[in-house]
Amino acid sequence: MKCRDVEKMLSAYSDGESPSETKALIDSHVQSCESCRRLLEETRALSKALDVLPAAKASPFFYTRLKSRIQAEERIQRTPWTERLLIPVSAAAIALLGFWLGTVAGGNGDAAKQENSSLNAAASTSYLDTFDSVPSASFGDVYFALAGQE
Amino acid sequence: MQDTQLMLRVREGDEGAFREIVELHQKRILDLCYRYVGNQADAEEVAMDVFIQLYKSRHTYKPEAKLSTYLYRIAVNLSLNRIRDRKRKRLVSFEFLGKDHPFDPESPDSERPDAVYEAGERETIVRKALDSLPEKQKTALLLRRYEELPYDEIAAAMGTSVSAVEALLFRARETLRKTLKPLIP
Repeated sequence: MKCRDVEKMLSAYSDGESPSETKALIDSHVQSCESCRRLLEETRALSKALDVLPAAKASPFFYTRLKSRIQAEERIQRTPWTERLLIPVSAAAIALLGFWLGTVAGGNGDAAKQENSSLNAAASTSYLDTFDSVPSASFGDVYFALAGQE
Repeated sequence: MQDTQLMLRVREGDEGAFREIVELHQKRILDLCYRYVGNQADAEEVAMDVFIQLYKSRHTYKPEAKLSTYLYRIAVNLSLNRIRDRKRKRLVSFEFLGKDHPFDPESPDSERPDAVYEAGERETIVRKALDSLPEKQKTALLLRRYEELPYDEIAAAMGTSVSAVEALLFRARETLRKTLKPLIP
């Protein structure tokens, strides 16, 4: 067997998962090939190095907490879907109502501002003095005098 | 088989049988989740999710495969989901520790002899190395190295073939031989 082929099979060989015929061939090769023998030793040393990863700590109340979670989920499942939707839908409705009221109140304020500015505009044209009398000896005065004679 | 008998009783609504199943498999499922997600709190939550899923599917249970294989498959999927969620939320994981991490393969310190690393450092180094593996390679390695499952059971738990498991383990070990070089005498 060539080293290139043996290298690919060493992982399964070290796990004891090689078919018996393959195992015999690798056994024989490794005995005579220092490079493959070293690779096999590294594979086994790697497995040992992974020992450092600890297991989880025991969880003494695991079943109790598991049971509580299952019961809580079953309670939710038994609640009619209409009730389950009630709270989020109500919250959304209240939020929308608040938004609408705010919009309306803000809109009334704008209308008041517009009315006020119109009044101001009207007041500012008072300089026209529409009802003052025509000045004497003016063209207007002569015109009205002639118009009165006809 | 004990698991089969118990699950048939669970299917009929026997809570005592469900409790027995949990007690039989709790440790190995918790250990697998712990080695996957890296902390006790998350591991316990994920392990509970595994048994909740088993409980919810009790009515459709069929004794065609080993219960442990089914549990391992759920545990792997839920652990992967937890890790992906964590990455999305950008919680601190070893991937984000960068150069402050005690072990950097490119650093001259990576040539330190094994004895110089303290136990805590070695655990951190191994965890980072495992986390850096592609998901399937990591899964195969955890199931083989820590759960000591034969290749056919690993294949069943992962929904793949024995030859694929063999290839995954080969590549995982090839990578780890390089990243864990200082820890291998």
